[in-house]
Amino acid sequence: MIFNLYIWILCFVSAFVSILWLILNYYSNKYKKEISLLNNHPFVTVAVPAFNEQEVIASTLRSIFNQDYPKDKLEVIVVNDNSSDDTIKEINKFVKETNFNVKLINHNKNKGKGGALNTALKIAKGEFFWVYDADSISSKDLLKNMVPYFYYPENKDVGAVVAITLIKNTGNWIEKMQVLEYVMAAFTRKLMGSADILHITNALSLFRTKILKEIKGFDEENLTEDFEIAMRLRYNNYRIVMCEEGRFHTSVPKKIRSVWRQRVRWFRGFIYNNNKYKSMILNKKFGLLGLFQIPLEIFILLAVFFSIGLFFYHVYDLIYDFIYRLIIYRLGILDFDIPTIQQFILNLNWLIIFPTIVVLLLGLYLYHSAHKYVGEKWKFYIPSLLYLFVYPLFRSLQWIHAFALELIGAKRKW
Amino acid sequence: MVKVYRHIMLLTALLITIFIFAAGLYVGFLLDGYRVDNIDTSIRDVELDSESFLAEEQFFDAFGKYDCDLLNKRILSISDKIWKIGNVLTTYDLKGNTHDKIYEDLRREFFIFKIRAYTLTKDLDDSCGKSYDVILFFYDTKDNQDSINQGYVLDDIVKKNKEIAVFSIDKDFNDSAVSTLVDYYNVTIAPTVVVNYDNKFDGYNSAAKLAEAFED
Repeated sequence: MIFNLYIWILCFVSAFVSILWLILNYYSNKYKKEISLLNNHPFVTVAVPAFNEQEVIASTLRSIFNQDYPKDKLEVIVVNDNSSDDTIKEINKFVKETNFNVKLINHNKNKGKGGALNTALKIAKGEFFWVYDADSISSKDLLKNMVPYFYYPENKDVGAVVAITLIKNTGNWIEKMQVLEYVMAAFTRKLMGSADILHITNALSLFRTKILKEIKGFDEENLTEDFEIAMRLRYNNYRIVMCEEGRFHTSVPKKIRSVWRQRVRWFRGFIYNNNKYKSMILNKKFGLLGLFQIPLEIFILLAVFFSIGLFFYHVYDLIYDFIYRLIIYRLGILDFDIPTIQQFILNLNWLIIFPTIVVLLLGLYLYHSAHKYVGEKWKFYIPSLLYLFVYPLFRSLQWIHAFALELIGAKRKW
Repeated sequence: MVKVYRHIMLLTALLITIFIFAAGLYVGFLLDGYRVDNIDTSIRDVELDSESFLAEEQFFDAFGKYDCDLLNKRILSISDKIWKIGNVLTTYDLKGNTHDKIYEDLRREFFIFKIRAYTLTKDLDDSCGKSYDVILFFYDTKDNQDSINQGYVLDDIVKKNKEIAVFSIDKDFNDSAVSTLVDYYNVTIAPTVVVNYDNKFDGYNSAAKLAEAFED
């Protein structure tokens, strides 16, 4: 009974959120504004934190200078965060070859991404501060599309603009598995942006420099400084919006171990930062973000723990049952009465199956909409299926791992 | 514009979700009704088999040509059906969330019928002599793993040996006929298994242990 009730609540919340997203998607498409590009381009500081990026730094810088944006309106600052490889050599080689103006700052000690960004922020001259992860490549039109968002009359309180993130490397199945995740993340961010509940920034986010300085830059001790800065912006009543034009591609981990570490870090960041900004939870001052979105995310987190408990209880039950039958029946595992089709249908618990089917169909439609939104075909079917049906178990375990590390106060390191 | 409609969107999403779940409840209710009909039909069917058996027995009795082989086969067939219906009824009862009273009545009707069938086998044994084994199984529904395991053992015995009739009874079921049987065999714990009317085994017993009491 408790199990049925729990599944019902979970299905209800999932169906509700899926339907809400579909409605939001409909309205945000219906009332979508055509972007009006600027004639006078403001000065933008591009901050590239780099730690052991010798393989990618040149292509990253090339991608920045390839932007369809006046070069004299760009200030590129690379902060070498005490790399042990040839990152500096590669940067100097790039500058020599292209003659582009790059400010290179070296840290004698590794300070992490937040520290590197703060170093760049201190000397930034741009009206806007573009965080540009060294392993990312953007489309040529991205910056010129992002900047105008700050100039819409209704966006005076916007502190940051984020962009659609897709995956650069899709070689092995682990990378392919993450494609669906990034496509869905881009889509949900668009929806969250249209409902003013977006509270995350990512690898290529554009900030108002003045606001960043006003809120004292990035948290250098934070495992997910991009999430923390987003929460801090929201806490200080600045909004975050999504730029729907242009894309950027970022690298994702190629090995299970790296994926695990990255996700555990993200989840620890989620737990830590939600705790840090717990006063926002159910706080009317923060509108739907405080009253709906953050509580929903916490509910999902709790559901993850409850689900994993139930899952293992049922697995234990099934294994116990199976072993018992195996011992009693000896080799008669398959010796059971085959039900008639009528009995099979009636044997199913339709009170659970009906909403589950509805949620699955809604989910599939959302996946379809998400792919349409980012302009990608839904491919890599087997890894996508793995992502949908196998990965959630791993993600639940990653949450538990992250929670345990936070609980014991494990050191926060990248 | 989206910002303006946010609360309306939330309310719309909530109403649509409630509608979908109400539809799910209705489908569940309808299917529960089908389950009840399905099990009711099966019980009626086996009751008719039993009536038919009694008619045949009376016919043989009246005309003096008692065909024990035929009657034994018929009673084994009835017992097999009873066992299968019992399994289906248990599954449906677990899946069903509505029609509780009807399920209760069906279970009662079914237990009474089982007791009647058990009595018929005893009558037949007295008239024809024993040619198959009869097991009476008292179980407990309150999270009793031993009862579940004993059920597996009996399932296995039935599947491997067609010459056996098994009748299962919930020892705590509130019915006077069930209570009479429980009192008669002095059943105090579950599972309790009675083999061939008077060999009583308290607690869980393996197939090998039960087989010791079977007819050669």
